[in-house]
Amino acid sequence: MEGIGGNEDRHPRLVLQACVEAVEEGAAPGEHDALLHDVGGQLGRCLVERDLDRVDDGGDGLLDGRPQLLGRRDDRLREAGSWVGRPFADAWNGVFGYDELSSENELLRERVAELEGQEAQAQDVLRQMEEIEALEDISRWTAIPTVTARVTGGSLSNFQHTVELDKGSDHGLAEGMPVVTGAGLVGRLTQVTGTRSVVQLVSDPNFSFGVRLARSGEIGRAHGTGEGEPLVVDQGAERQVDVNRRETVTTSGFGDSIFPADVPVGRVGELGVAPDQLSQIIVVDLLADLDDLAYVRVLQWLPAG
Amino acid sequence: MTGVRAGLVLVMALTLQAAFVAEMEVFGAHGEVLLLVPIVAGLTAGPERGATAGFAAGIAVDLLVQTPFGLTALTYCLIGYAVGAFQSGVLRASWWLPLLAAVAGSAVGTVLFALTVTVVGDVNAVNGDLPRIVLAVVAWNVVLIGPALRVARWVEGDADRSIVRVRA
Repeated sequence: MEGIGGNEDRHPRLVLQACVEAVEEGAAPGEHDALLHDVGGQLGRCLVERDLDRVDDGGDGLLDGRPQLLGRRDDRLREAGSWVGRPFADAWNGVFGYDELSSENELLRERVAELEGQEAQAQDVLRQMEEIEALEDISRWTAIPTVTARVTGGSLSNFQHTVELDKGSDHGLAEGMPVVTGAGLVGRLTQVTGTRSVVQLVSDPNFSFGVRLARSGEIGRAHGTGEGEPLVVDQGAERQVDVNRRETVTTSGFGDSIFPADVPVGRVGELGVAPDQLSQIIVVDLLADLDDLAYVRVLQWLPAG
Repeated sequence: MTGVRAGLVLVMALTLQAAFVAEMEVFGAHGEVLLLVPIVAGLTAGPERGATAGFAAGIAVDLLVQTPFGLTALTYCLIGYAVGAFQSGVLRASWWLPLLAAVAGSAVGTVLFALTVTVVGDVNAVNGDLPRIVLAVVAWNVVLIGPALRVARWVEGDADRSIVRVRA
């Protein structure tokens, strides 16, 4: 058996063994054929090393390149196919999907009709509320005419919680008028000149006014606790009343209130029990940001009396 | 001439307070640099001049705030006289005297004003915010006492470079 093998033992069994090993190991996709190259390499066949390599590479390249080939042309084919087939697909869906589409359309029409009905009812309720308010001489604060003013500065004193506005009596402002922002209550005018006015902020510890909890209807008296601090309702809120956190708090507007009713003030934050154990203490987080006032609206409304 | 300079300094101090100091908060409160006017006036010119300067500065402040008119003037007048009287009793000038005057005068002046406005103005100024307000006023005035003393000497037309003038 001399002359057949190369570097191996020149034993045919060993050559055959090499072939078996190569086949058992197998060729991974895209990789060179181990049998062809491994055995051939061991036998030192240049033919395998060069020419057959090219054949193998070409074959692999052909196989490997097929997804790319199809990938490049696939989009175009697909587009062409869609263009041709869409009318047929639409017709198909129209015939066999008509019932489903029709029922969905009916549901949508019904829902639209329901919403239109609710809107009509809401408008009717609103109209009735306006009629009742007119009969009972109840005025909604949103209907009060307003004057927009710019905040020009704060107080020179540390013991005052005020801001200055750039408008005064020349613009229809007067002492006692409420001041609000889009978020809620800010304070009231305490000094008015021809072109300037001063607003006492609700955060002033010396400022108190009546409030009402929107959900429970409970009435209490709120006062400020300082700059950047929440309001505290420590008068009037009975302990047995169920108060929810985040419940909206508005002005009460009752009696000789200095504010019109239902002006948003804040939301309930913390709850506590008063020392007398009969009432509860409600901390109200203000809706209006009193530390960042740029423009405010003055309600041209004055309390009775 | 001293009166003209004093008026000019008063206007500048008021502008500084309104446009700058009142907008910058320290410890949650802003300074009151006009309280330095009676302090430095008392240090440089004695109790009478300190009281006069304090009254003028206080009236200027009262025109711009909503607290009862005259309370600031009364407070500043008392502080100016007290600082001037204290300085008159000092036998030798010391570098720490202006600092002590700034700290004590600012703290006492702020507390005194809070007490008087609470009693007279039906305003609850003696509350949990008072310590922060005192700290802020003291901090500002400690920082500005040096330049304020120089300005006060300029107003008095005093060429003496000593920190304070010790009266015999």
